[in-house]
Amino acid sequence: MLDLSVAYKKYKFIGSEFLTWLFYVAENEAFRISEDLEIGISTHIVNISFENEMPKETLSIKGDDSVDRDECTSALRRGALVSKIRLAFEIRENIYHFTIHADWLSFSSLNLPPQAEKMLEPEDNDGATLERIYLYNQAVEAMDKLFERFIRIRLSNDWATVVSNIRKWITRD
Amino acid sequence: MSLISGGITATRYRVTGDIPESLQSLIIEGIRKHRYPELEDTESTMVCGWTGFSEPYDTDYENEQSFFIMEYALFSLRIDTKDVPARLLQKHVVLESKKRLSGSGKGFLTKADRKEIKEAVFSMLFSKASLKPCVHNVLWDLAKNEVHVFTASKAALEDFETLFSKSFGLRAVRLFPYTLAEQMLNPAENAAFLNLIPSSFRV
Repeated sequence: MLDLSVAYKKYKFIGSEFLTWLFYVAENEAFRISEDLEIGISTHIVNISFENEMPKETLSIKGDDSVDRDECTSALRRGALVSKIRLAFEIRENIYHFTIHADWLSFSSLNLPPQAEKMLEPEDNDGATLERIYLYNQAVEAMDKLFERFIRIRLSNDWATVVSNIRKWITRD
Repeated sequence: MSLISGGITATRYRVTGDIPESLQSLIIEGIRKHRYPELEDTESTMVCGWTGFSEPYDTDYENEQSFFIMEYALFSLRIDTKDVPARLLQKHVVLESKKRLSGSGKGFLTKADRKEIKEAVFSMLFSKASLKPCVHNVLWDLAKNEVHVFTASKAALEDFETLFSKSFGLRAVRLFPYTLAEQMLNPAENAAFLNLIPSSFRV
């Protein structure tokens, strides 16, 4: 087993490639990971970084601004990768919005479906907590499924086709 | 940051080490040994320890059994810090320097004078400052051997990792692309993963 700090640095690119793939997938495919899980871009917040440049350059697109979008794909054409993206999941008709970070694949600003908020009021605190844990776990499991799917594609011969498709997407007008 | 309300920010760990069958007892003992010590007067800049999930400011709890719901252990990491804001220090140093100058009849302060004033002012302000509490919820999934800490603060996570290891004699290994892939893939796939090199999408 590799030393973890070495592994973190050496395979950091996997997280950025994963988010770049997710960006492509969410923008181009009606993506259904399974019967009950669909993903999509949520509020169009995408951070793109040029990892090897000093100082590190970061671009953001927000909202539906096509100028920002062009800038984003232009950055990808120049070798940048996605470092942070805001996405939406639909899992069994529940919508989750969240930001995911490439370095640790950790969630931030994860908004659970509204019915969870309604559960906060009642006296049954344990019930409300378990409901939140259940919904949070659904999001974690969905992200794991997506990452596993990506890793298996990444290790397969299909990856060359995916890279070619992403290149076509970022060069499209 | 909290699991129970608002948007969730979380960091995920895998628990490794010699995990006993009686994990619940180990957790209770570890929490008891390193519970948050309620201190009013302290010279420390930081005090940390475990506390309850729903009432993290009540450090008088006696029943750690209530920290368990189904296959989860739920508690909190409380980190209280004490500091002197830089601008407050600057302001009082200026005022004290002015006072010292007018009393001495000298036209300037030496480097040693300035250092002495700064240290004295810091010490005075620090003694008046209170510890500021910060609470981070911890969710330990006993069935999956995973721990979720509801913060992304680098300093808080470092404190969590140290306290976790001291309290439970186990290691919390942070999950990131490499460690996640490692637990999803079989040995042959893992070997292939180790040989991956970055792809370029550059056109």
